[in-house]
Amino acid sequence: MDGGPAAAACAVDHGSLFRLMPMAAVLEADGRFAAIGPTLAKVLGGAGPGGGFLEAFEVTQPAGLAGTESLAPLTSGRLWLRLRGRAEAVFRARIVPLATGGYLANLGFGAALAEALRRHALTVGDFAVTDHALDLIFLSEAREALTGELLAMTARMRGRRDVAETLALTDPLTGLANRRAFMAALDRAVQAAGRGQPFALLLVDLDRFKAVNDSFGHAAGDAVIAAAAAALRAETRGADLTARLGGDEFAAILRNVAQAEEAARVARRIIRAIERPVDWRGERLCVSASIGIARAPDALHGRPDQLLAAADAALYAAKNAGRGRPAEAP
Amino acid sequence: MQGLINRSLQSYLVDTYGPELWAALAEELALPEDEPDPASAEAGIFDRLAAAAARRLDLPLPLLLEEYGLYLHGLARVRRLVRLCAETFEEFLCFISDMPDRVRMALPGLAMPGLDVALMPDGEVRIDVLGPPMQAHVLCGFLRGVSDDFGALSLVTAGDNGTLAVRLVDPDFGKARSFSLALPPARDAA
Repeated sequence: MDGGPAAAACAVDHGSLFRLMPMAAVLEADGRFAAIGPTLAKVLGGAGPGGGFLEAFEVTQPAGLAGTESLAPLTSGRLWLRLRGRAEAVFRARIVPLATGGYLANLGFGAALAEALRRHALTVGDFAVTDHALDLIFLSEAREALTGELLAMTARMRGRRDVAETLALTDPLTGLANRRAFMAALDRAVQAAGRGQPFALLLVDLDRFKAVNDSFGHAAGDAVIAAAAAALRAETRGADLTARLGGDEFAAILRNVAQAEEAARVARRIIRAIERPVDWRGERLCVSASIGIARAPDALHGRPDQLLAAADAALYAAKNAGRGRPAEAP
Repeated sequence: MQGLINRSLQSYLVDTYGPELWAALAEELALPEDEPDPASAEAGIFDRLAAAAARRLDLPLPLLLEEYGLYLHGLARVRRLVRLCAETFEEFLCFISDMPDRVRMALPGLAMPGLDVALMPDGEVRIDVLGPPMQAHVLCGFLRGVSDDFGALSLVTAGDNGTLAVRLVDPDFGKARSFSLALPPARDAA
C-alpha cells in the first residue's frame, strides 16, 4: 500500500491486467481513459478513450455520490453505475487509486445481464475466468428448460388421466354407472319411451349425509355412499340402470314402470333400505333419502333434460315436504 | 427425475425412428402409449427400453446409446448450455469433471454419475464414468456432438467398462457452429 517493493512487484502490464479483468479500465488522474479492457470496450462502443470515465458512466448509488465530478470520492466503496443515456445498462463497480496517481476501475454486469449479452454480442471469452455471470445464465436456462419439461410431462399425465376418467363409465367408489353413462342411458331410454317402452326416472338424494361427513370424516361418508349404492342396486331389477351422479346424488331408470304407484313403491323401498344404519368402525351411521320421480313418456317432458328437470323439481318437493320420502313430478 | 431421462430416450427414439417403433416398444414393455410413466421414476425402464429398441432396430446397444448421446447434445437448449460452459472443446474437456455438480445445481435430484478425467502421457484424455458402465456410451455420443460443435476434430471412443478415450486431433479442424450468448428469439426451439 505504501508503494514499496511489494507493490512494484505486483505491477502488471495492461494486457495481463485485462486478461484477468476484461471489464476494467485504467484511468488518468483527471478521469480520462488511459486503457480499456476488451469487454468494457465492447460495452462502451463508440465512447472511446478520448472521453472521461464519468462522461461515459453516471453513479446511481450510493445516492450521495451521484453527480460527483471527480473520481477521488468514488474510491470509498461499492458503486452502482449506468451508462449515460441508457438507463437499463446497469453495472456494479469498484474504483481504486493507483500509485501512479491514476485510478483502476473494475466493472461487473448488474442484474440486466441477459440484456447486456444481447446488446453487446458478448462471448464466453469476454468474461473473466472467475466471473460467475455465465454460471448464472447457465443455471437459469437449465432450470427453465428442465422445469418446462417437467411441467409439460405433468400436463401430459393429467391429460391422460382425464381422458381415462371420461372414458370410464362407472363410478369408482360404488361401481354404479357414472353421470356420463347415466346421461347416455337416459337418452336411449327417452327414445325407447317414444316407441312405447315407458320408464320411471328416480333422482335420489341422501338426507343428513353432510352431517355424517362432517362428524365422522370422508371415510365414513364413503362408507355411507357405498351402502346407499348397494341398497339402490338391491331394490331395483337387473334391467334397471342405477347410477351415482356425484356426491350423495344417485339416479335410477326403472324400465317398463308406467304406473305412478309402482314407481313410488320402489322409491319407498329404496328409502327404507338406505335408512338401515351403517356400522362403521364401531359407529352407527344413519342417513335417509329423498327421491324425485318423473315418468316417461310424458307429453310435457319429451326431452331428457326436461325429464331430468321435472324429477329434480319433484326431489325438491320431497325435501320440502319433510325429507325421507318420494315425490312425483306433477 | 428418472421420468425426465426416460422421456428423453423416448424423444430420441420417436424423432429418429418414428412413432411406430415407440408404439411397438410401449406394447412390448406394457408402457402407456404416449410415454413411460414418469411417476414410476423407474430407472429400470430406461435400460429395458434401450435394450428392446436396440433389439428391434438390430443395432448393438452401445451404438444406440451413442446415438442417443449425440441426440441429447443436438437439442438446441442442451447445445447452448454446453457453449455457456467453455469456449473450446479442450476447455470443455477440462470442465467436464464439474459437470455432475453443475447438473445437480440445475436440478437437485437429477443424479448424474461422477466423472474422473485424466490426461494420459500420450496426450489422450481418459474419462472414467463412475456409474453404470454403459453410460460411457451415452457420454461418448454426447462428446462427439460437443467436439463437432466447437469445430474440433477428435476421436471419442468408449469401452463397455465405463471408460472413454478422447484424442484431440485438431482443435481448429472446422468452423465452430455459430453461437451467441444472447438468447435466441424462439425460446422453445429445443
